[in-house]
Amino acid sequence: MAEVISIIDDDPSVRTATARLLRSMGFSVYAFASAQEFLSSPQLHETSCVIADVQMPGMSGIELQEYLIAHDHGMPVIFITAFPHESVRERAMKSGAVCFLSKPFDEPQLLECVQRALMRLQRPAGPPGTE
Amino acid sequence: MSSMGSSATTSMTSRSVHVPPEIVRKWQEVVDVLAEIMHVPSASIMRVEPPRIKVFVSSASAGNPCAPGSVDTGPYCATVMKARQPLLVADARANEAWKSNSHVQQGMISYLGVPISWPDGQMFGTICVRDNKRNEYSEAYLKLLLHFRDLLQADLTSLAALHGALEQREVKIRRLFEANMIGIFVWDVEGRILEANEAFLRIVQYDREDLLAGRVRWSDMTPGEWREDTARRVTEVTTTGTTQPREKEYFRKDGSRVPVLVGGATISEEQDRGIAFVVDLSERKRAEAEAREIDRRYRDMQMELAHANRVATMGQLTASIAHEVKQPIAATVSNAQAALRWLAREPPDLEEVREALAHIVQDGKRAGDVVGRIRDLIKKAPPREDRFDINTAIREVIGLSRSEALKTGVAVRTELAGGLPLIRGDRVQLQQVMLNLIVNAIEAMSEMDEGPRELLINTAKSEAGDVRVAVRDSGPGLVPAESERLFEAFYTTKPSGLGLGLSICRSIVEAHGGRLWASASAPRGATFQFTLPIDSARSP
Repeated sequence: MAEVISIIDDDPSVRTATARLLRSMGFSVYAFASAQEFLSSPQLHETSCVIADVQMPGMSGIELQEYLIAHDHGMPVIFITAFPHESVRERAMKSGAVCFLSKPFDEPQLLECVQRALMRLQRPAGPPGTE
Repeated sequence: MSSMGSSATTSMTSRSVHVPPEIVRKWQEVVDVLAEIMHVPSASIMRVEPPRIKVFVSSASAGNPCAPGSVDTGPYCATVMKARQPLLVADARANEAWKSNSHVQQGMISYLGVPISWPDGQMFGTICVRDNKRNEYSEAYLKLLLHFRDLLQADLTSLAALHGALEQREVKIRRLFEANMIGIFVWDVEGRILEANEAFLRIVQYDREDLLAGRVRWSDMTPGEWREDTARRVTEVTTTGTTQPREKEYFRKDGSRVPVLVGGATISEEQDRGIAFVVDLSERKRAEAEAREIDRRYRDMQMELAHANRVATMGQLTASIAHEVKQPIAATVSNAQAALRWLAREPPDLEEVREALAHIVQDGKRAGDVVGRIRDLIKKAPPREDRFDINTAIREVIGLSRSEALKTGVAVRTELAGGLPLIRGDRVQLQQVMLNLIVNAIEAMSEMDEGPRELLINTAKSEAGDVRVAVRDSGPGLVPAESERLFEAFYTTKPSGLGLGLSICRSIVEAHGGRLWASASAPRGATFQFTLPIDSARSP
C-alpha cells in the first residue's frame, strides 16, 4: 500500500531529513543526490511522486520536470527550494508542478501536497495547469 | 745706532698684551745678568703703559732703587722711546738738562738705555742700566745691551703672533655668536651661563636682564630625567675638550619644555668653561609628530576600507548566504517533525527518533558554523597570525559562495594539492581575498550570454617553494595590457562598483609577503593567482 516517493536534493542534511519525515508519515522513500542519479535508477519507474530541489548542480529541478514530461513519465512533481524566485515558481507551476514550497517548509503543508499529488494519479490526467 | 722702521699698521691691542709668567722670569734673568756683567747697581726693563712708563722687571742687585711695578719718573726712558734711539748719559751732573732729575736724587747719575719695540713698530719700552758713579759705558756694553734688546724683541714677536691668532679666533667666534643663526652660550662647570647670544635667549625665552642678573643657569634649565646624561656630557667635554651634538630638553623661562640639539667645547686652559651650541628642535619634533599622525590615520583608513570592502562583498552574497543557512535549518525542522511523528506511533520508534535528534544536533552546528564564518569575515579584527591549512580555508570559502555559483549556473571545480605546508598569516583576511576573487569570477561569467561557465580553483606548491592559489574562470577574460590596472584603487568596470576589492586584496597578499596578479587564460577567461611564502612573515 505504501506509495513510493523519491526525494532529489543535493544537500545531504535536507535530503535525509525530508526522507525521514516522509517515512514517519508512512511512505516508502528513496533519496537521490542528483536528477541524473534518479533517472538512471530502477526506482524511476516505481516512483509515484517526486519531491525535488530547484537549484542543483548538473540538471536542475525544472529541467528534470521538463525531462519527465517529455519522456511521458507522468508522476507529479513537488518543488522545495531555498530560492523561491517568482519567475522560477511561475515556470514550475505552468509545467504542472503540484506545489512550489520554500524551505523550511510547513509539515502539514507538505503532507497535503503529497496527498494531492497522489490523488492526481487516481484521476485521469488532464492538461497541465487546469487544477 | 740701530734704526727701527716704523710699521705702517698700528695695533691698539699690543699695549694690552699679557706677557706670560715664563717670559717675565726669563727677562728677570736677563736684567740680573746684565747688572752683574756690567757691575752696575740697576738694570731694568721698562714698559710703556700710557700715559706712564712702568718698571717691568728690575735686577735684584744691591742698591737698585728701581722697584718693579713702580712708575719711572725720570726723563731718560721717555727720551729713548721718543727718539727711538739709545741714550748714553755718562754723568748727569755735567748736563744742565739732566742734573736735577729724580734718578740723580736717587743716586743714579749715569744711564745707558735702548728702546724695545713690537714687531709692528709700536714702542714696548726700554732696557736700561744705571750707575751711581760716572760711567762711560763702552762700545762693548752698548752692543751687549742691543743684543739683549734683540732677544727681548724676538720674544715680543712670538707674543704678538700668538696674540694675533687669539684675536682672530675671538673675532670669528664673536661673528658666529652675533650672527644668531644658532643659539650659543658660554658656560662654566658650576652650571652658570656667562654669556649668551640673542638666538639662545629666544630659544629659552629669557631676556638679557635675566642673563646679566645670573638667573639663567644651564643646570636649572636641565629637566630631572636629563640630569644624568648631561653630567656625563660635562665629564666628556672637560676631559676630551669637546662633546658631540645630542638631543635633550631645556625648561624655558615659563617652565615649558623645548627639545634641543646641544654640542660644545671647552675654551679655557683649565677646561672648566666652554661654549655650547644649541639648535631648537621644536619644528622637527612637530614635523615628526605630524608624520606619525598621518601614518596612523592612513593605517586607520586602510582598515576602514578593508572593512567596507568586506561588508560590500558580504552584501553581494547575502542571498546566497541565507541559502547556506536555510539548508541546515530546513533539515532540522523536518527532523524534529519526523521525530514527533515517530514518537506518536504505537509503539514509538525510538531508533528513528534518536537518529533524527542526532542529525538535528549536527545540522545545528553546521548552521552555527556558517554564521560564525560570516561574522568573522565582516568583523573588524586586527591582523592575526594563525597557522592554517590553505585548502581547508579555501573549501570554507567555496562553501559560502556555492549557492551564488549555482544560482548563476557556474560549475565549480577544485584541484587542491595535497601535502601543502601550513601558511602563517591572517586566515580571515586571506579568505577575504579568495572570496573576492571567486565572486568577481562568478560575476564576470554571469554577464555572458553564452558559453560554458566554469570556475576552477587550484592550489599547488610553486617552484620557488611558495604556495600558489589560482582562480580561473571561463568568462570574457581580460586585456593583458590592462592586467595591472585592475589592481589600482578605484578602478572598476561595474557601474555600481567601488573598485576597491582588488587593490585591497593585493595589499593583503603583499602584507603576507606574496604577490597577486592576473593573466588572460586560453582558450577564454581570466586567471587570478597569488603566492604565499610558507614562512609567511607579516610586515609590521
